[in-house]
Amino acid sequence: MAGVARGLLNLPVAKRAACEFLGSTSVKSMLETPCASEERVRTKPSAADVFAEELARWLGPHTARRAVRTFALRALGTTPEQLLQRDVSRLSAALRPMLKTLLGNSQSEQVLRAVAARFEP
Amino acid sequence: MRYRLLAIVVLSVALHVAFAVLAPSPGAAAEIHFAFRVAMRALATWGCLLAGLRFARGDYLRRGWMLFALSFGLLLAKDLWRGPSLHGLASTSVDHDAVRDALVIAANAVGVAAIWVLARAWFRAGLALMTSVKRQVTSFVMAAAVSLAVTGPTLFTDVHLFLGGNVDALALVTSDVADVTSFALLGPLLLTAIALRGGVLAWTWYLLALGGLSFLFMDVAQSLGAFGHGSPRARLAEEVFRTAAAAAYLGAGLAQRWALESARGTRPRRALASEPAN
Repeated sequence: MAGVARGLLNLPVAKRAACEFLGSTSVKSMLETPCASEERVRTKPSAADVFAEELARWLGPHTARRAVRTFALRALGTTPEQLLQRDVSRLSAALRPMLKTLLGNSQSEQVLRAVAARFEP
Repeated sequence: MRYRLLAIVVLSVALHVAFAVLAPSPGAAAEIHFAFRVAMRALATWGCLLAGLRFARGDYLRRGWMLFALSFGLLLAKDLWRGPSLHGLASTSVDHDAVRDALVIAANAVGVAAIWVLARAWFRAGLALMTSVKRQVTSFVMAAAVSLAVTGPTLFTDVHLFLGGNVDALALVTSDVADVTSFALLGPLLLTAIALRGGVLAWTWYLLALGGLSFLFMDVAQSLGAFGHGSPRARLAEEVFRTAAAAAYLGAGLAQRWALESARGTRPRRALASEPAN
């Protein structure tokens, strides 16, 4: 009986309904794959994506991505894809002179604080 | 905001052309040119000061903006020194004036220093690291070639005049050398603007490059006017490009200040741990 219920719940229509309307963890636990919204929550953007996203507002998306790549390689010797949360402060330090030149000291610190806040638990 | 900044340039040019074309006499047109020259230089000084003062002491670009403000301020002082008569805009004859020459030389020297500081930002910020050497060399060589093509003949003539014993030509030579240097430095300014495209900072650099290009076209019109023995059309083009350049620097200053205010108002967003991906 439980197997039939699990099978029905994993049909796309039923699964969507269960995810949207049934908050019960017992029902959700019967699903083989998580709800779409849960999947989104689990898939966090990478550290490099967060840096690029925050810097894009000032430097433009193209240069923001290239800046993360260039300074990750030069300062940390790693590719953006391999950046970890513990590299955040070192990458910030590497990007600081660039931002300081273009935005000034206090404004660049403000921008880097906003980046750091994205990594706080 | 960015469209308002562009509107400053377009509106200034449109108003200048309209007033000059509708002027009842060549004398009145000359007075209009002078009025626009003074007004736009005052506004450009103000715009550059606004940008410079938004940076803190010791910030790299503060120096550049303050030098630009000083350069436009000195040019404004030169304009106001004896009014329109001294610039050949009115019919009065032009006498030798040491104060005017000193102001021109100082304004040009300070202007070159300003553009040097801003052009160096390209390297100082590390943007050069992200662009291929080939692209950088091409843009620098092209800018230098255009610069020499536009200002080279005038520079040659003025140096000849100076070496022939004409002391007044010293101000002209300084101005020509400043033009050659400034136009050659347009390369890094354009590269910076292109690199920052899509970002808040890009508009400052686009407008700075536009200001530099307007000065370049002003020089072209000046040269054409000299060949055509001061035709009214070349005169109008020269004055309109001068207005466009000053308006672009005003817009660049406002764009810089706006960008810095946006950065100062940056608030931390939600932390990554609870943030869904897009």
